[in-house]
Amino acid sequence: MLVVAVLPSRKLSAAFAGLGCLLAGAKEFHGGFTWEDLRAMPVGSKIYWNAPGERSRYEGDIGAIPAWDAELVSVLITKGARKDIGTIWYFSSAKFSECLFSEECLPTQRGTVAVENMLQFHRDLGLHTKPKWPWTAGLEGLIVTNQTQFLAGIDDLQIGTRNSKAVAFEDALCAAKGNDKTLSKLRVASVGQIHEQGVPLRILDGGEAFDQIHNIESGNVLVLLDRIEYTPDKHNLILDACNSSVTLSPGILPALPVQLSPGMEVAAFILPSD
Amino acid sequence: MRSSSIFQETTLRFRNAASVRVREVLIESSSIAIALQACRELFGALDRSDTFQANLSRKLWELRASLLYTLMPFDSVELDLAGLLKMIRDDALQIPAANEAVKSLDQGINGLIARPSNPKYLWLKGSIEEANESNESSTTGLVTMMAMGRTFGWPTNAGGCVELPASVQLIDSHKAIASMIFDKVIVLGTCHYLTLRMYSEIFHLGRANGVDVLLYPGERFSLRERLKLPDNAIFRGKLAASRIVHSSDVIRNADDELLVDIDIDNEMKRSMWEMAHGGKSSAEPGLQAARYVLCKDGRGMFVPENTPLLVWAERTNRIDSTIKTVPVEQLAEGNWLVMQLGDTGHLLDLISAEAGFGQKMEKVCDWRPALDALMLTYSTDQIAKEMIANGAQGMSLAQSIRNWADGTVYGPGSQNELRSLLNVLLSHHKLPVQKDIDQYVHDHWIGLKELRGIRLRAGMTLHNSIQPLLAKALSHHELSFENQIVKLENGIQVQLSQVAAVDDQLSWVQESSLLHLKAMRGA
Repeated sequence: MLVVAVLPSRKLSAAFAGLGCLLAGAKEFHGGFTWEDLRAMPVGSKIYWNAPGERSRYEGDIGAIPAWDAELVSVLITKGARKDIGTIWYFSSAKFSECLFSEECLPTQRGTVAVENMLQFHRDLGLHTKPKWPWTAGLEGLIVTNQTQFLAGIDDLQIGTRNSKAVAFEDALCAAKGNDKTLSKLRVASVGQIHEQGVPLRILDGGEAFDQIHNIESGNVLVLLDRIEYTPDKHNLILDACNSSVTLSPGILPALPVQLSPGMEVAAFILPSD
Repeated sequence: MRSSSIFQETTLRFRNAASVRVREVLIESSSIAIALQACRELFGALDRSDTFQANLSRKLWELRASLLYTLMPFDSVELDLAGLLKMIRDDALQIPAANEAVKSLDQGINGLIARPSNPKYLWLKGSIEEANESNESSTTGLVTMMAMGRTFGWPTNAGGCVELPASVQLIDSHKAIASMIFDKVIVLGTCHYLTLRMYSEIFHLGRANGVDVLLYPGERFSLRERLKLPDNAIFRGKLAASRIVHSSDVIRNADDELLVDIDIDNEMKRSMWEMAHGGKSSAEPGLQAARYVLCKDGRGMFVPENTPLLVWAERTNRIDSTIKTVPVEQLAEGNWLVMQLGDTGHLLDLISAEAGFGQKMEKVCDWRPALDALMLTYSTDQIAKEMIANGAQGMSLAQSIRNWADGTVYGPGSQNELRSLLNVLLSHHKLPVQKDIDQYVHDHWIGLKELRGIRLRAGMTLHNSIQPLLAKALSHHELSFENQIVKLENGIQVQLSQVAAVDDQLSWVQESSLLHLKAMRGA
């Protein structure tokens, strides 16, 4: 689905769209990285974990299941406490449930605090976000924008619900920046970077980011433009999208509000895969 | 400035943009009407293909712009209408066809000097006094930079003769309007000369709740349409259509209707641009479409459509200022263009070397000596033909081969092209026989991509380094519109030029004219 919004101002719009994307992703989340997932990982795969009560974040390579106990998973430590590097650890199902495992690099201590703040914000909103969701690999959304302006825009802003303690907007997003491969549910990337495919939602923030549309093969795209950025070349492309779009029924997005903000102009299209 | 949060400000902008009230205010003045009509007649009598008459047209435009946009009394020394009139009269009297029109102009301008009170100023003063009496606490903006980035007929110092209350903020650049939300913006005359960006900020981007456009008889205002998204079933009934509530107290009689068709300012604007840059107004073979950007220092350049330019986005604290990329059609009056002088190749080499660029280049482009060897006995055209037979595509393959051989370009731009090149070199026994050609091509292709990545990152590093260095260099440096060259700590020289205007129509020019800043014609 391609959604295009033309606005009087793009200020904070990508940040709020990203926030919406996170909330929707958290609501839809039912899985998580399980013991079975760990056992099914091919030999040589990278795995990341935090052990309770330890400051070190670990990284290792999955090894073969030991012949002497098929219920264990062996991991060669490649990063972590210095004394452990190069050693092999054997994880049982019980030990697995004590640790926090992920297929992506875990955040720093500050990042972990930010994740806690994000979960607190979800609780304040009345959402029952599963604690495993932020620690499970896989992006919910990718914001393609001018990173410096985006981060400057949300700097010093806080968000919260009435009667609750507000959290830093940056924490509510917990977004990884640029090529930082740390586990996150939202990534903010520059227009010039090469972006991974398969993200559920890409938010193309601004005229320059719009040009990325030609490189996107599948998934959902939200384009945010201010009124002056909606130029004839973009208009022509949107008209093409309009002509190729599958007919949409008004009920396809049931959660839409009755009335959108004044000054907002939006259109949505479902484009065939070819 | 309103003290408001970013949320309040954004909400207000959305509300304003959804419904902006635009009012055309007719400023009746028979003496002005006579002078403006005389300007129009004289302009119509000139042959602008002749250099002398083209220069006279330019002076006449300055006179007209001074009349339209000034708030000063018409006998003001700073305005110097008498001086301008004398220059025009002296030139125009040499053109027999213009004699009658010159006489009318003489009468019109002298009539204004004899009765110097400025009707637009009187209206403005009355309007502000009225607002003060009703105790309305409102923020009013007054657009002063109306004529292709120039401010005509405006006091040059703060102690000038126009007295305006503190509640009126002067809008003399894009920065001035983009930093505030106004209850009302007053536009001193026709908006034909404003850039698209400035026009959009005033009318479409929610900067003002209402806009008053002051017009003399014969002066025209027209709303520029903007593109809108196609209607969409999903959002039908959920969106409030944005509208411009346009009212006018201008009552046009039959003679006036005739003038609407002519719209002299529109005609003058086109002539001014044609005289400034000389680009073709329609496509011709071998010419490129570009937009002309005029700078305040009297120089200008053609920029291909959609080309992003670097703009110095100045903040109150210079150290926090940034460099933004802005597409040419979105430049506005007062933007500072940042242009790099000279070659940065050496600096790029230094940064790239840190990432092992040299070694990688040697490994990835190990086919270059083989290509050099083949070029001793085969022409590039012959090699190109063989490559096409091997599946390569492209019109200028022979030139590409020369570029690969001399290293101007690292290598082929697609894996398919690289495969065909390596196949040709292998077939001529210039490269050692490969067991797995697919793997060989793949490895070289990945290597080429990495090579380009290193260079791209080096370019970005260099670009990012310019910003803090420029901020530092400018922190004790007052910017003025004259050509500014700033030498940065890393040896790079950047030039800063302030945008005066951007042609709203495309021109067609030779490729060699693109991005080449030079004095505008007749400057």
